[in-house]
Amino acid sequence: MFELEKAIRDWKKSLFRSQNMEEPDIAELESHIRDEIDRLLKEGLDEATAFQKAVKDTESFESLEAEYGKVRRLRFYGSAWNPARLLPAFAWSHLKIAVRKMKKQKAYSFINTVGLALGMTVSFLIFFWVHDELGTNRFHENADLLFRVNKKYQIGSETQYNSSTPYALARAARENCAEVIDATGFQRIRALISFSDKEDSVFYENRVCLVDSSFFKVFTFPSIEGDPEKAMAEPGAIVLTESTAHKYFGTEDPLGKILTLDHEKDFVVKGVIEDIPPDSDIRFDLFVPISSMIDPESLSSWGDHYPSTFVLLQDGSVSVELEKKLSGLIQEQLPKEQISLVLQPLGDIHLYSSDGSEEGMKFVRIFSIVAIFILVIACINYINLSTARSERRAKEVGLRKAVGARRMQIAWQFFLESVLFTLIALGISLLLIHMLGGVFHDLTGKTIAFTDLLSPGFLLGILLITVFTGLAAGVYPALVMSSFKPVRALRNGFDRAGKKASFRKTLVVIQVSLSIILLVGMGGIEKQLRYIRARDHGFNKHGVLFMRMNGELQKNYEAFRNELLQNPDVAAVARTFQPPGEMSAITRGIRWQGMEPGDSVAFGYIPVDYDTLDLLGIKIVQGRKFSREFPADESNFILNEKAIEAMNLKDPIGKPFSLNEDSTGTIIGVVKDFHSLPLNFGLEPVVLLLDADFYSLVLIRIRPGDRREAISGIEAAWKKFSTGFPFEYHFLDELFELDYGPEILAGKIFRTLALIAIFISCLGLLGLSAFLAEQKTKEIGIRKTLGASALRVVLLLTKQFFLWVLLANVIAWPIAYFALRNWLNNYPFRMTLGLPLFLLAAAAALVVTMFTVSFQAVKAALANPADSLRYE
Amino acid sequence: MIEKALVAASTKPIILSILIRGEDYGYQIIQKVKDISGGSLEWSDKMLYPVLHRMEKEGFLVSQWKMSDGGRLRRYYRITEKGHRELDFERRQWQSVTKALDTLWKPLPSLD
Repeated sequence: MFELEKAIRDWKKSLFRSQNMEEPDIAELESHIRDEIDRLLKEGLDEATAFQKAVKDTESFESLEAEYGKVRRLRFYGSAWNPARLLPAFAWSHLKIAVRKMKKQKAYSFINTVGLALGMTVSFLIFFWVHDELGTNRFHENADLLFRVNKKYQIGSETQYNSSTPYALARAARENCAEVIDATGFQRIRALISFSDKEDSVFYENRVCLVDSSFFKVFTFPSIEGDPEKAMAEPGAIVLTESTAHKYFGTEDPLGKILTLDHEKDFVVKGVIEDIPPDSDIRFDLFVPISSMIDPESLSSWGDHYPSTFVLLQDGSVSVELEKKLSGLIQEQLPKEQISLVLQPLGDIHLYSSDGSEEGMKFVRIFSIVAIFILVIACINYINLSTARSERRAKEVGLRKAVGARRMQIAWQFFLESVLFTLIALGISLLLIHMLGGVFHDLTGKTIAFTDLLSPGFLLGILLITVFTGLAAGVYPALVMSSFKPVRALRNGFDRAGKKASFRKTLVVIQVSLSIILLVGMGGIEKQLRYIRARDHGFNKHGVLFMRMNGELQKNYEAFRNELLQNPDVAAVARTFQPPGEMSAITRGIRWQGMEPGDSVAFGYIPVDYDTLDLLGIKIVQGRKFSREFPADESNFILNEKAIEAMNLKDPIGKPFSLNEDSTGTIIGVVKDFHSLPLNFGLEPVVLLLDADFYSLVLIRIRPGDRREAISGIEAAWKKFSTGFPFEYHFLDELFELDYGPEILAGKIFRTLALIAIFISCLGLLGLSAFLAEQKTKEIGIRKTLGASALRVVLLLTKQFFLWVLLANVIAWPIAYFALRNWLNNYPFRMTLGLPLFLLAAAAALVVTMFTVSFQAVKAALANPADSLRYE
Repeated sequence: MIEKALVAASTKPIILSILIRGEDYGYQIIQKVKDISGGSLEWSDKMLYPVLHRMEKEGFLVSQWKMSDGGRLRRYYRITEKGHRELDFERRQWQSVTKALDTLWKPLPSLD
């Protein structure tokens, strides 16, 4: 039985095998032979004969193919090169088609690829940052076995943690605990470095480390010259980092050279180590044996807590028994304090504080989430635009199905296109990463080396992200488009059934929601920062600078001060121990009248002189300040309100007060609370006293006006009274800015990310609105000819976006609210989370969306209706 | 049978001239040409379609797929601005040639 349809199908199949003919050509031929068959049937022939005749008309397959081939090759500059030989015909033709489609729709392709590339770039960079943060400090050989010893102690009802431990701890831990293979304690100090043979070379070094002989055994800091390990067992030896050695000695060999610390002690350079890598929190430039700088009595004491102590454990596990054993060591020595010791892994130090709470880890989490947000936004755009473009090709799909292309082929086609796009986006993004290396460094202090990009972890990450994106974006169009009913698709372009529309709606809403959340986050961080900055510390922080005291200045202090006070720019001069707002010295063992046994209060220890309180504007609320008229003041004390409260003392003035077993003095005044510690730590009880042993800083308050003039005046005075020391100063308010470093940085980064997310969203909206405008071209044309104004047309097109933005807000606000509230809980002082912030973000999102979308709307509204109606 | 070279040379101007009267599809073009030429010009699909595609690529035509009421899918071709100009060019060429031939053949007796 001859079956016409089957015969035609078989005939088509044979044509499919051709490399030069594509579906449209085959369809055209099919239509042709069907017309011919119709004619022959009308003339009276039977189907079989009609078919034979019609097909014979197309002569031999090869020559037909050859003719088509000649036309094809016109594209390749008339050469006979047939690239089909390079790849299997199947994939190559699909690839050709994909490239052709892309060239046809340059604008869409550009927007789509760039949007995706941006999203990928940002996520890659964040991924890189996260990876780096998580790996900080892990480069040491013994990283898994190293733990920091943290102190846990009670002050009244509060539990506090810090990492300042007794000098004697490291040795005691090593000797008394079997699990501890080795232990080291080290302490940061500042020192003045000078050289006997180079008069004018003087350096203030901030990062000098006092170490014991185990330091270089326990930590991995590769040496370049000499033997640092051995060196730190020799008193009088010093080890430098490569750059420091270079800074001091240029190209000369540093070994054996002598340098002087604080104009007092000489040290011989016995080793040079490699510069400390950027991913290390332990960061110093010079290393000196602790025994050379701290006297033996202090070294064996348990009362002074300055160094950090690390232990190297047998196996990397911390047992409760071990912690108990260690705690026992300190409790034995300081029975009156409620102190215990806990261990913290080296790898956690960068991201978690000593009490185990998340510090940097917070940001790692937040930025990871933001990265995912941005990637999702980019993918959403990509999917949206891909499907939008696909709709235009509905006719093509219908055509091919009519011609007999199998669904898999069509799906595969779309899929391949998606992969092609994703790969191109990947290429662009890698290029962008390379170009943005500098910006990245500014924001994070990290550098991206090319080798980092090639590391297996990173490559895997990139691959995953790319594949995920390609799949996500390609699967939907591939499956949906290939399932069209061909005839329906051809007839009216695309069945805009509710299902497809709501999918797109959902995507846009999600995207705008994410952007809003980021906007709110950005606004929230900025607001909190401004709030913290504006908070009153309780003392004058503006116009106050401080300088380090030195031996010469100490001798000449009065003269120096008098000279300065002659300067009209200078308002006050005084001395203290540490910068206000950073006063971290505490003391225990305090006694007062009416103290209960078991009472133990840690006081902030604040040495001042007669002028300090006035300079800082700290107010007396009871009693009086220190005065030269009362020589007994040298052993008297002033407390703050918090201290009185902690001691439960009524009528404190005149009551006895002592710091330790030996001396007793009287409380002569109470000051209003001020922030001796950074704001985050809240207020503490403090004791102020005249302790000339600890006048390490000179404070100077200058009058409002030109800072530079005042400074040059001060420098002149300095040069007169302190010649052997470099003139260095810092402003208090600038110092506090450093405290906010993490927040400022987070704010900067969040701002950048929010803007990028919005930009990507705009790209997506642009493409989407263009597509929708095109879809409605016919409708618009008709309306315009019926007299609709341009404004109406614009409204018609933008109306739906307005609703989408509204919906996005409804979704975004609760999420943003909870996230922000969560973050703010970390700060003892926080701004109020008010409505204006959210409204502002919503307004911003609305304005940006409408602005972007209106481009296309206006263009469509102003277009000539005749154009849109012509092709019907 | 008309010589191959002549058939080939006349394809383009014939197609353009047919399409000037309105858009059309391949099979119908072949029929029209057969009718107009009284059967002397019987174009095969192997000959016509590649030419149509080449002309489209050169910008003289644009094509569009249309569905007939009977559900048959056909590819319609339409002449473009560029095509118009090309047709003018071809007409002038052919008219020069035929003018020359007419002049030469006038004194000769009729050929039928």
